[in-house]
Amino acid sequence: MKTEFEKPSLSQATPTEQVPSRPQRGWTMTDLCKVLAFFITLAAAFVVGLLLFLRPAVSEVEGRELTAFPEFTWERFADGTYFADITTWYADTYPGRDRMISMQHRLKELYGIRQEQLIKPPTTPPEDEGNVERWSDGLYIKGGSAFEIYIYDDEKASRYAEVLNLARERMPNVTVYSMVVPLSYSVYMNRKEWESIGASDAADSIARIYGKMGQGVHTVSVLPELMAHQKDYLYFHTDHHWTARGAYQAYRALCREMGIAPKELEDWEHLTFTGFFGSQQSKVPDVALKEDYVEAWVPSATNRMTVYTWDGDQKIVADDWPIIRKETGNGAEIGCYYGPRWKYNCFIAGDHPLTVIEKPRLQDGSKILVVKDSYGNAFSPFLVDQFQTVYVADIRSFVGRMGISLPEYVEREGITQVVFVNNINTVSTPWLVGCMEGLLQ
Amino acid sequence: MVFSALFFLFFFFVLCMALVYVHKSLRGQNAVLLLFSLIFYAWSGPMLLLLLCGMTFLCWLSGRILGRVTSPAHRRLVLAGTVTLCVLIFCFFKYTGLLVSTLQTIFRFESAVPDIVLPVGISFYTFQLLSYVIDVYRGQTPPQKNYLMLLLYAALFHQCVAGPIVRYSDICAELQCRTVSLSNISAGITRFSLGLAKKAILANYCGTLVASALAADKLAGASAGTVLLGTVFYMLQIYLDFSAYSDMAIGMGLMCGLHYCENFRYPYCADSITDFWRRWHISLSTFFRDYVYIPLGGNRKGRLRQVFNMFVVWLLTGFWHGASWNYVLWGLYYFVLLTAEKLLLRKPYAAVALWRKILRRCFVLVAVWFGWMIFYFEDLSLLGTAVSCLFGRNGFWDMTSRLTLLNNLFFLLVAVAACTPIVPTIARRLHRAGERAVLWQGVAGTVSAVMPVALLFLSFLALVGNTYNPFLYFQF
Repeated sequence: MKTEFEKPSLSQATPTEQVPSRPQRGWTMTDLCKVLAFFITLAAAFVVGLLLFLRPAVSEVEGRELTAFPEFTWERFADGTYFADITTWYADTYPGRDRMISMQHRLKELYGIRQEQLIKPPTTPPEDEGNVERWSDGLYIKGGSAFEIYIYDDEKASRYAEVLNLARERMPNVTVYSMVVPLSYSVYMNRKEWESIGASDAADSIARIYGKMGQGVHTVSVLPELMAHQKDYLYFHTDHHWTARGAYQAYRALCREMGIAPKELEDWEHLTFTGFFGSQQSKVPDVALKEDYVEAWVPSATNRMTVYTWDGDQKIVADDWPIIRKETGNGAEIGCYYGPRWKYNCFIAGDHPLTVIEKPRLQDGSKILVVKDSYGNAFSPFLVDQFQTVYVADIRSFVGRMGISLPEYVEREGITQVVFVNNINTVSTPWLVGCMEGLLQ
Repeated sequence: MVFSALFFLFFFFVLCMALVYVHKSLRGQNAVLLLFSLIFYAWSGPMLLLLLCGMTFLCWLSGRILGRVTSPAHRRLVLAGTVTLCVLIFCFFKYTGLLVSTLQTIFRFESAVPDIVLPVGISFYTFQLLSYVIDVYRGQTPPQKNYLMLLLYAALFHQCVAGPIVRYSDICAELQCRTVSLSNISAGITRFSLGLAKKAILANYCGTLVASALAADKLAGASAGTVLLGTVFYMLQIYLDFSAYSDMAIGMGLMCGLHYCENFRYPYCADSITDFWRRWHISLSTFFRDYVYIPLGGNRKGRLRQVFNMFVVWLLTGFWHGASWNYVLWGLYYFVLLTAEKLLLRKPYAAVALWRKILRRCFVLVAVWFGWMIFYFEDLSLLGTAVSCLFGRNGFWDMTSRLTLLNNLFFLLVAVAACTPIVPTIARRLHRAGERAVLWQGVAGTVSAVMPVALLFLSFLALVGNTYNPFLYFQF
């Protein structure tokens, strides 16, 4: 011990002067191969990480923009967030990320027996819900399909019904229809199944919601029509929307309520877009869901519409677009990319504040307004052949963007029928119901 | 920065190792390690680096003084002053928030709880520096003349933020004189890649399952099965995560010719609570043993004093783990268990019947599992909710518990196996059995050479799309 104390600082000592070192075994060929393989792999990963031009900006698998390189500020430098952001940027945009994520998802399938999965939302929705587009009570995955769960809430149901009653009151000269669309679980699962995952009885819930609406609101029962065709492809496996086939059954139910004869699917041109992986797949990227395809039926009278949308200068501009966009891929025409995640946007080009479809040959003055969430996108094209003008207003953006209330717009345009098309989870999302209330002020 | 960040793996670490290996002189290697350690630490906030450098300077100065002063009274004074100052700085950063909020609750006064950023790794490097000063005072290690060398010891990125708590006396010789051999690098690569895989593939995924099963807003409606699975996954996560960091630190150390102490020895295979703490976070247990328990008198001053000494050690252990009362409760829980074991359970433990041994191991596992429940819930009311759920408040088994188990059954088996020595034991036996067969040697050699790269690739897959990459030790 004494000699060690007297040893001078050894920072400059050569290895030959070293203190007794640990016994070391000699190296083997395996050691050499291991060291070479490991460091060559790391060096390759290092070089790939430096190839900035290979770094993606968007993740197709996750359906989001990837983290951008952070901007430098002294404040962020001092508290370390600048460095933390660089670390995030580096990982988030690493070349080949999407392919690796897909491989990881396939690997995770081996973690257990995964025919069925139940994914509950991580937190309750915030009160203001400003950033929550739509709330659901979880996902149940079975047989390669993701089912959204709905839980009935009487208070929320009452508020939605009050909004419809207000619509009737504020637009006394039009016929108001309410169409609450059930979720896929209520069509494809039996009572025992949906009870076991804690979901509510959709038929009973819709009946209760309709029961709270006044006499003047025409309620449209969609569930029986859907149940009668439950063997059909009515809802997507990987997306929270219904398919156009599902929407067609709702169209038939509306026609019955209106007292008009519905057209048959065979009357329209039929299109199919394959390779669709929708919003639910993005929520559970590590679960292999069944690939979807999007079917669309092109209106006979016209396939053109005027879309009022928000341009880069934050002004409303009117554009002439197709109702059913036939091409997929990079859509230069509407500036919208229909990648695997976005194929549902082939219906009326997705969500926009207002869409107006004029049928040039018909001059009977029939005008219908669809006030909708995104379920209305697949539904609206079916109305085109039977009305002179079909207006489609999005509940989230109509008032904010168009600068006019719904009753004023209805009066100005001489609209005689208004259909509210919303899925049952929209009814449970206070922010969205608040948007609808805002439409009527 | 954490070891399981892609930026660390594919940029920082590669650059650091390349520069270390480029330098043939030890001085150059140490300079590279110091530079990269300071960058690594500054990555969490450059201002926090000043604290690390300042505390190291204080301890370096104290060591130098202790090396020159011979009067015992003066030496004691220097030691007491340094330890007090270090502990005060440590407590200020770590416990001011807890102190103010507790006083607020008791005396009901209005005041904002100060938002003091906890410097990452402060619990580890403070203890390392304390061990240095005390060892110099005791004459167990010479004082370090070169400040930068002591800074390298305190800041070395391998172990600075998540341990193990390496004693200066264990590493001073190697910091100053070492050789980096190919066999050491090879062993380090194996250890590092195993640690990385434990963290990236197993621990992180356990973490997502825990977050889902024990989410505060859903706990009140959870079934017993869900809470049980969530807490079992947490038990797995905390071991896999923590031991993974130690594995990676030990592996990186080996790659640089440094040998750090082992920090875990399959703690869930312990046959008593005492044995558990001999296997869990060994560097912390031995720190408290050598610098608190034994100086207080250990078991040499009577039974009552021993119990008191244990109480102090476990109170401090609880506080060390985090600035929240649940950690203190967790420490005291172990004090009760260990005291009971030492005073009451000696006879039952002496029994050799197989069923009694199995029962004892089961008891240890259950006791440790419940300890992790106390550790997990910082909000003690949530702990109460979880316990009531375990007693079937919302039923014992439901769809969520059934699917959580089924969906992750094979993963669970692998994670449990990773907490036991089963795989190394099988590998060792296979190796022994086929030692003389040339074909076997070829296969074993190939597997050994390829395994780190395969684990690196699998870890990369797990990390690349995983936003859930928690660092559990920020509160330490």
